[in-house]
Amino acid sequence: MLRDNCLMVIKLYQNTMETESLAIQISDLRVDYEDFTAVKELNLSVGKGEIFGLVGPNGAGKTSTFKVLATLMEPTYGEVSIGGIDILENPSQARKIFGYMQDLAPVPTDLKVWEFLDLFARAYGLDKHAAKRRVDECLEIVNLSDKRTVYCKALSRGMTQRVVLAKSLLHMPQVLLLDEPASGMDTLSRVSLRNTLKALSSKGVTVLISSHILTELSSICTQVGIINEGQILDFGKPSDVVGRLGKSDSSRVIKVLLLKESLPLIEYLNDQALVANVETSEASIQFQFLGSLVQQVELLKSLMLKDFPIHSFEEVEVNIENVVLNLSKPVVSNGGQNSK
Amino acid sequence: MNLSELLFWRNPIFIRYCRAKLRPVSLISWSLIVLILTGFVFTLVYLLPQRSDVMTREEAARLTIIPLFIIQCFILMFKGSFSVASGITREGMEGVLDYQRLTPMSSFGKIIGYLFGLPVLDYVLFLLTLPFLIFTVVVGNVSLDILFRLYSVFFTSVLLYHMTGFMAGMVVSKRFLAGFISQTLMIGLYFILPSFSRLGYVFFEYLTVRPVVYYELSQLLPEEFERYVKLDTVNFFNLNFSVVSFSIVIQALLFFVFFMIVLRKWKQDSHHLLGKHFSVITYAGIIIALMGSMLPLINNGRIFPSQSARRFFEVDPTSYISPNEALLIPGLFGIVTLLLAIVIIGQMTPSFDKQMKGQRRVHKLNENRVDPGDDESTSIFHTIAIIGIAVISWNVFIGYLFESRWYEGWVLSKYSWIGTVLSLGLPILIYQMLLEFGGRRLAFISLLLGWLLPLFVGVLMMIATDSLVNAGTYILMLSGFAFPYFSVEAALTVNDTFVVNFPEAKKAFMHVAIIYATLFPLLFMKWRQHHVELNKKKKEVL
Repeated sequence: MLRDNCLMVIKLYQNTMETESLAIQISDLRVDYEDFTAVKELNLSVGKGEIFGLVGPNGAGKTSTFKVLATLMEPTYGEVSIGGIDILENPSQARKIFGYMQDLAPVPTDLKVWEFLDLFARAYGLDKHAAKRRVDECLEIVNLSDKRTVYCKALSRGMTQRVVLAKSLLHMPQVLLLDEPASGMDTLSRVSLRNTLKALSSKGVTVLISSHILTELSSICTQVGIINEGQILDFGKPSDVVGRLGKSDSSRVIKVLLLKESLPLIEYLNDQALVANVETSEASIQFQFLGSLVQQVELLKSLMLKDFPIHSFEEVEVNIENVVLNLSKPVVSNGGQNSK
Repeated sequence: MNLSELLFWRNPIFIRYCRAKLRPVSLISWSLIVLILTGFVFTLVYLLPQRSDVMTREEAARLTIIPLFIIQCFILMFKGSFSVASGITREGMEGVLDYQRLTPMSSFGKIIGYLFGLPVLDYVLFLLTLPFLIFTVVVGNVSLDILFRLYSVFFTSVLLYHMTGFMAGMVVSKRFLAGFISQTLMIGLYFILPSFSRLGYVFFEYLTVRPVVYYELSQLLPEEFERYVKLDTVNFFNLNFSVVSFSIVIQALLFFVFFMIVLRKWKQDSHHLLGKHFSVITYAGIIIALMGSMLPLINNGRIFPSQSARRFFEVDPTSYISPNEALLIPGLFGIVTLLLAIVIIGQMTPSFDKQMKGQRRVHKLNENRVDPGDDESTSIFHTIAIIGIAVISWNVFIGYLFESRWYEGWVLSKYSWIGTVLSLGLPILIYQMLLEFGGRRLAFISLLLGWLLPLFVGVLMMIATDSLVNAGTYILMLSGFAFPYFSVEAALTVNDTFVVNFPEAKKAFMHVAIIYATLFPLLFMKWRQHHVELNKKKKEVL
């Protein structure tokens, strides 16, 4: 099914993509809200067909950047172009070539799924029949054909996200701006989203996608940028960034859940050569393990044998808070940061 | 612009609302309510006069147009405006309005879609009342010409009120508050402002369907109603317009202003309601409309409430007016120009953050200054332009009044123009500066404590006892709202025949003028300092 969807996407884009280079370019972008500066002198460029992941914690400036890109917000200053069109000078032209999906995207409560999509298909200039055809195609891409006549308000969070993704695809955009598209989606939907995005990318569609979970994006993105306090802290291929941040075969974060607080356990961990950054809380201890998987098993076995009050172990996903902790200085090169 | 966007029945947003609002359950329920109520009221009004032999069948049928028209007004104006305001706010709150912002439809097409789509149920309910109207026309032998004129203005009013709702919905972020504000605005436009027509502000009357209704419907009613028909033509400066065409033009102009507001908010939510240049043009337009409709009322005395009332009750007009009335009319004009200026300046003056944003941008781009027309630029120059318009129009108005026969025996001080400059210029500039360096909250508190409180306290003191009249006058005059009124009182001197109520007014005006004139340079320095700091801060941040 997923493969079919991808083939469909490829087919749909075959004759629509322009040959000229597609890109997102942001120069010296600044966004202020009263005294708070959400985005500070941000520089970013994304090449045609790339899937660029913008990763950062809440309040890092991701959504502000997306809102500026989507022409929904005027920045304090900066230059932003999509597909070569200056969006601040010519927003209406830019709107024809990008699709935008916001974080926790809403849907109108008084419309059925097909009515919602039909509205936008027509708003993008399709006639009645073409709109119907396109609505069906997009529903199929997001695996929601069976929900065609359901009221939008009856959809789950994940389904709602998929409907809005379908809406964003209606006009076959050259650039997709997806702000936290996976929030609320179940595993199957996430896999479907990844495959859809990969298929779109393979046909030259540029995707800018954000998340606060690095690992969520690392499997689909060609490039990732870490953003915090409105600045790009690091960027590059996902494997490089993840490696630099400590999520590699030889480095992972382990969380030990405790039955009760244990000072000897903390001391024991601090004495281990392959353990770093031990953090404690009332019922758990978290640390970074720098060794191999075999060495990790050995360590956990030794903890059990020493009879520490351990309840269970778990490997923690590298979330962006950990990442940001590891990167205190912004990357500066030739007057700014650049993803390429 | 795509033509199909303008043909509202092919407009995607209109189609969207037809689907959402005309679902069978809702449509049938509302239709039943309207049909049953309209049927009951209509039949009652039709049958009752016939049964009591007061009217013939034809006359009774004609009479039914009044309740029918009221029901139609309620459906389309009251309920319709609420539908538009609350609907647009709901879209904004849900976040789906942004989706529409992103479609390549023209802004005009989007506004048309919402304007006709959101109240589509109300239009359908209106259509359901048409069989009753047809009965009235046929049985009552109503002229189609009258009907056409009546419903032309009815529909321009409906569009104006729907646009009012649209504007409220775009500006106010809470759904029910937007609906409430749109209806309050409607009540204000419909009932409160037109009541100022007794003081010469007939312009406001034409924002409603009332003049046309009085004129057109009275032709359908028995002769005894005829004396209520007072208007057949409207004088605007030296021009004559029919009631219908003048109403349509005035409503269309206000519709245009609201449309511009909606268009700006549509393009970018953070924009001011009106651009700075357009704000000044709007202000000038309103002042011209006021003067154009007021000046022709001076010579026939209809600008004065006493003479207007005498005419209404068919009592011969007198050759004089009371001193209070003679002071009220020019004083009130000054107050109205002041209030309008406050509203216009309030919406075009940038907040501190907006100013900072503009400064940062010009600093980054190595420009000299923010473009004077931008939202982020200071509004001081446009404020001065507004003061200029206000002062000139007020002086022209006073001049016309003073040359009329009603002011025989009065002496206008040759320095009266100084009074108009002080009483309008100082309060308006002070308000603008407070807004710009202190923000809306400080300006609001200043208006409340500095202008409203002295007004209330002064009035209470003056009516409490004779001994407090003079003290009350001084306190009352501290209010910027009362300042223009007393500048007129200071400038106009009456002959010995009349006694002016507040003998201390002239002295009090001088004292308060000195207070304002002292306050002004202090605030100006603060305002200047604010801009210097702004300049420093932008450099620090970058």
